[in-house]
Amino acid sequence: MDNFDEIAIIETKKIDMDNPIIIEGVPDIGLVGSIAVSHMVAEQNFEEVGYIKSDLFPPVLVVHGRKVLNPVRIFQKGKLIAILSEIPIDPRPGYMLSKKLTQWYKEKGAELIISISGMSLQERIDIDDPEVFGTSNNEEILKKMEGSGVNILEEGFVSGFYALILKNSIELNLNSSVLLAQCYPSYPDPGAAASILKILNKMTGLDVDVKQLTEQAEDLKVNYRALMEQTNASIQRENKVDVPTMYR
Amino acid sequence: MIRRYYILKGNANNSFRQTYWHINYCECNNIEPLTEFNESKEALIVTLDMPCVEKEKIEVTSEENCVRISAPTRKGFCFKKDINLPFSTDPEKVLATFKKGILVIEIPKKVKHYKIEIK
Repeated sequence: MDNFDEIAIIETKKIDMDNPIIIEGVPDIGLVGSIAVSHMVAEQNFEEVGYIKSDLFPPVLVVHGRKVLNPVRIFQKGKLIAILSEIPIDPRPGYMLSKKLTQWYKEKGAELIISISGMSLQERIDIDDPEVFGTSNNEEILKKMEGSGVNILEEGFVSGFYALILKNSIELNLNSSVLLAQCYPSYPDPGAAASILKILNKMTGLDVDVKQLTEQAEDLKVNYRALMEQTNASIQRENKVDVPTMYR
Repeated sequence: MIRRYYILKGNANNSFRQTYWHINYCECNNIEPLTEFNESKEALIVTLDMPCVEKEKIEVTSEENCVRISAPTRKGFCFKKDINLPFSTDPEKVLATFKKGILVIEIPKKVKHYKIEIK
């Protein structure tokens, strides 16, 4: 079996729409993407329409509402498709998953891919409303992001899984963007996820209520502690280039 | 030996955020908080993520080569962490602050080298 085929995207319900907008939440710095997308699909009643399976993923299944589920699942509401992972994606499956996903996005005729992540900040504790930074491979999208309150990265680096998504998107001529909220370097950050969702509301026309994220931030941090611990270990395994947070 | 196991709450209405990533409890019902270390020439700064904890219930004790932290949470378990220091500190000079669920401990390094005046 080709390595690329070790990952399969299974559609349990027909996903048939014109030019969907894809929103990705994969465990990363501060778990910003996971927390934001998990909250969004629950609060906006997204429908589960598929999952992603691979022997390269750790042997984990999740149980929600007495149902046994795959940890990487696909949700849909209207024109929006959400990819939510409840396991950290290690580098090797990460390379293959990013290729498989971007190819799938291309087949679906995706209008825009929005990857959600965090930007670690040592002084995060002193910030009440984290700012959101972003980049895209499309100038029009950049203008739209700027109009939605995103600080556009003029100089800097994107690394990890989302860098692969962006790289593959450039090769496949897909519009892709990355949103990065200021967040704690090693702790789950529901506040940063709330900042991202406020921006997403403007960019996509959603109306996600983020009050619960801010009011129950402490409880969420407890619940996400183990995933954060595993994600921190995964990030270390990734052996990333130590890039400076250079932006202006 | 520490036994580790996962606890899953059986409430069918719980969502992912409430049910999935549960605390890795050990038999003494203590867990280690997520911790970051930043070291300078003069001090070690330790930050510990301790949500669901009241400031008044946190206990930080310091010895010359060890700082111990424990705090009960309103979730029914305790955060507990022993930091063994590779240097000596003055226990009475250790500083701790708690803000937004994060405990910051500044552990100054004991000055070991003095310039000796020659008489």
